Amino acid sequence: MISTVVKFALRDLRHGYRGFWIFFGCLALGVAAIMGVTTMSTSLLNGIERDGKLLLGGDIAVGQQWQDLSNEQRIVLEENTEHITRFVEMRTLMRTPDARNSILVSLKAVDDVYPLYGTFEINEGLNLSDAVERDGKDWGAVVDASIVESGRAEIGEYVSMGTASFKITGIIRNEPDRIGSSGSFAFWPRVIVHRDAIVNSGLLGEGSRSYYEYRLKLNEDVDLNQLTSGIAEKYPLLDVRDYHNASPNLSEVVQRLGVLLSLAGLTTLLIGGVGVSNAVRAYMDTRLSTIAIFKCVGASKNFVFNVYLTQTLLLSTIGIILGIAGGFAATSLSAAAIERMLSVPLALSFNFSNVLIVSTYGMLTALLFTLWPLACALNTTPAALFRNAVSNERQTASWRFAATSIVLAASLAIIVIATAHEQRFAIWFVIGVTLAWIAFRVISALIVKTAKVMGRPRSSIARLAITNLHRPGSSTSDIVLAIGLGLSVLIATAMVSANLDKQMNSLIPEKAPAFFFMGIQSSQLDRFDELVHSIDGVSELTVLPYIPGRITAIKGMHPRDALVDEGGEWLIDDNGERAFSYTANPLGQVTMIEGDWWPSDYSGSPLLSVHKDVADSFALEIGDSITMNILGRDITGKVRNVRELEWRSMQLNFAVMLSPEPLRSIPHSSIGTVHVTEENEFVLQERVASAFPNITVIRIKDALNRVNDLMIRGRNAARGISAVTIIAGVLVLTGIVISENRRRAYESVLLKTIGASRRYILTVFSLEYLLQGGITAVVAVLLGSLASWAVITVLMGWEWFFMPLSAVSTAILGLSISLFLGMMGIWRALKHRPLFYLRNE
Amino acid sequence: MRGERTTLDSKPEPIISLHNLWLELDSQAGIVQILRGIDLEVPNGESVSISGPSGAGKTSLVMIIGGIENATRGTVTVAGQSLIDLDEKNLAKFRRNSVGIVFQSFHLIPTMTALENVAMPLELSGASDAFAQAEADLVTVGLERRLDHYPSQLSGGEQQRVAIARALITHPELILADEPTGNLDNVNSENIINLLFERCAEKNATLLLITHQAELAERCKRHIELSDGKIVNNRI
Repeated sequence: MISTVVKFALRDLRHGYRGFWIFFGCLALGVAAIMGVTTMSTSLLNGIERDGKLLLGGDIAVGQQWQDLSNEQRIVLEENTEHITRFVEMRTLMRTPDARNSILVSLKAVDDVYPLYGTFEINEGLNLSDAVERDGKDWGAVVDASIVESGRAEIGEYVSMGTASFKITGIIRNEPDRIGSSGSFAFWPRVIVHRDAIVNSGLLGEGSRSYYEYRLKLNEDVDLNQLTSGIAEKYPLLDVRDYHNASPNLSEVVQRLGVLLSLAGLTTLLIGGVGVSNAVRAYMDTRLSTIAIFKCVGASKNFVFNVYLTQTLLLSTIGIILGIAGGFAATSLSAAAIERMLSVPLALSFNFSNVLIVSTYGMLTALLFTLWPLACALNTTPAALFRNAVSNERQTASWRFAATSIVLAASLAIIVIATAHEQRFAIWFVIGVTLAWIAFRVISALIVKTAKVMGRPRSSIARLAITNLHRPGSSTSDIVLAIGLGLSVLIATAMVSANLDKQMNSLIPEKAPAFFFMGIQSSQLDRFDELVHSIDGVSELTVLPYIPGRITAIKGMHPRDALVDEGGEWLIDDNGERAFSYTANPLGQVTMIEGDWWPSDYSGSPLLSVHKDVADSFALEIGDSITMNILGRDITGKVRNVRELEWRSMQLNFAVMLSPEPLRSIPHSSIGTVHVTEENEFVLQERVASAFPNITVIRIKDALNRVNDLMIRGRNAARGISAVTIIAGVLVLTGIVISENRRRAYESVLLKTIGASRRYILTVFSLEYLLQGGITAVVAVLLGSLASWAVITVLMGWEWFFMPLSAVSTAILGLSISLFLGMMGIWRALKHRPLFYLRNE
Repeated sequence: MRGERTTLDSKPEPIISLHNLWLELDSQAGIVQILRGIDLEVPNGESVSISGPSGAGKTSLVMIIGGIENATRGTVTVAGQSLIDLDEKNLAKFRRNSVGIVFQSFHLIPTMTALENVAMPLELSGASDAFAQAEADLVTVGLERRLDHYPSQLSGGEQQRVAIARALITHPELILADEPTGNLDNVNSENIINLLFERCAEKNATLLLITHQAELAERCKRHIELSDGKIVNNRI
């Protein structure tokens, strides 16, 4: 019997696949989106894993801030090593002959052995050791292309860093281990010099925030894990990584990005599912006679269902294969661009587990959305043939099909959650989609109900429009769902984008300081103060002690046990140091939430002022204790007050501030900010940098511009992804419009035949559409805003702003496009002679 | 085989037996009574014409006899099976094996060739020689050169020949024909009716023919006239 079913299914498809382009389009686009993003994230992770040694620059990386490794430590490393390279990284100001072009750079000073893995490429085939070699008085330096492209410096030009002078000899084309760089060094434009060049430059002086790094290529017989854990155990203050974990942050970012993109792809697939459902319904409408004939000649209901289910599976398989091929091809074609954009190696591979997951998504979605229209069509009675009354009026299927649909939807949800890297996002996504689904179903039912009870208005236009909303066979429900989901995604995207724009604009507060200084030594404080104040236009110099340390206990507990809100995780994170400060008096305008400041002459046991977020994250109350380990010494303080502060004001501040004692007596450096008029910015930068080479001078505008660049990249990526979703939405709407136009064209022609003008007919359908679309748009604005809120606050952890203008204008634009598509179809029908339609009837 | 159903006093066993048959349908205007207490017995192998004005219930009656519509009340026994007692699956089996239907609008499946349309009922029964039998039947109705043509490539008369071949392919005891010449010209009508009667006679099938044409009705042995859901005339 199976072969008969397949035979009948294939026979019934003989008229070709022309009517299925919406079906294929919607399914293939959704599948392609998911396939594309999963292939991309897998390929990136594979690339990071494959090129681990290259990215790290060695088999093992060992590093430490502030000071170089001891001789004893170096001997341990050398014992097991075939080759070893050492370098220093730091942020410093690269001063150009024109002070206005001076720029904060990420300096890397390397030895002759560097790099152990990969090839360091410089323009015009220069060799790195030649390029950074000393030529007479000056050393060579190779710089990031962005430095030259932005016109800050040119090849052959002389620049200085600290007290040393360098000649720019080349542009870096490829720094193989850039991604494996520590911390924020990857953030600033790169400059590479010889290690010997900075020895007497003042850059390595006391308080300099240098990072001393070693890369090891191990002897073949050395056990990597044993050595890594041995070093970490023996020297807990050293940072030790091996090539399997070359860039944990990057892997995490790629995985997160993968989840976000997959969910965007899944949204595309689900919206496409509405199109699939509509396409199947439209197709089944054309098969109702055939179904009736099958039944008349004795085919059972099950047989007929199996025939059309087989067709659906066959068509879905084609759609899924097209999607998988398309998604993979798109990733392959854009691989080079992705590598360039993310600066991450991409090991492109056709991953069969991805194919399996994506196919499962595609098939479950196809079945979920086709089962109901199939089951409804199945109810066609053969009696209809006797009366030539085969009708496409909506029928409903039995509860068994409803139950099966629910099981399919639940399976899809479970697979989405189970296969997600971050299940929290996936759960939110499933909840959101379910709520949207229910909301639009309820809305469509309400529209139909309301239209029914509205009665029959006197105006014939209103009467026809309202009747169309609730008459038998009305597709109000499909249109509301498709437009609603499509608009919600559009609005969510627009709102996320608008929020990102607002964040970018609000990054630079009106009264932000001009410079941020790091590494000011206690011995330099007076001279620094004097120099800064000697420059015209300077105001509000703020300098605060900077004391690195770690929180070891909160309220007598391990900090992790005291954590009640993961928003405070960063403060107790084991990776990286935290910093504290002390002050006798509150800084600037402080908003006290609870408690009060200690007296300015207080010298008793340590008291603490904590930020509100910290207090909330650890449920801290006045009098609770926090223990900090500072330079190996445990210091416990009691919370005296909880304060609010606006981080974005860029006012210098710390999450935890202490009363002056006993920190005052511990050796420490300071950080500072200063306001200065724009015309004097470069004078100040130049003079501080040349007088205090160890002090890192960061021009805040430069830093914010770098952040802005990154955010623009992120925003553009978000827009690119949503474009795919929007295409799916437009496809779905087009599909609905096409199938709706069959009915509307006939009705339009009938109305035309009895004397209605084109304007009258278009007004009727526009009114009907606007009634459906208008109400749907209001709900879509709410749901879209909710989705954007979740993305901005839950996923990105930023503040969310409601942008009514952005939401409403997007809704109007979306509605207008779909109205235009619909009206175009009616207009085309009205241009035909009525006989064309009436004869076909 | 069919002769076994004939009794010794040569009164044929009824293939159709209806008692107090009612059909009521719900509509927005309330319940509409389509058939009102029909009693009818049709002996095996007989040809029966059914006539009456529009809305009299002719088609509904034929649909109930063909197992396509369910009666509201009464008993329906066709080919020895009480249709009221049959479930969906057995009704499909009944239609496949016991009934052949010929429509006014032919109702061939447009994506299947003439041969496939005719073979379809046998394929559904799982017959292995479905195409050989279908080809033989199409040759009988004069379409040996049209086997691989699709319905859209056939004339109206040819389509109806295919439909007749399809209706008779499973050797059903009962053929239901609903205005089979309604969409044909005079010459084609005559040919189709001749073919229908010949094929029914060859296969000893009972023929129920809905028609408005008096001369066509006259070719049947029994004449039934319906009006307002009731049989108002049942004569031989």
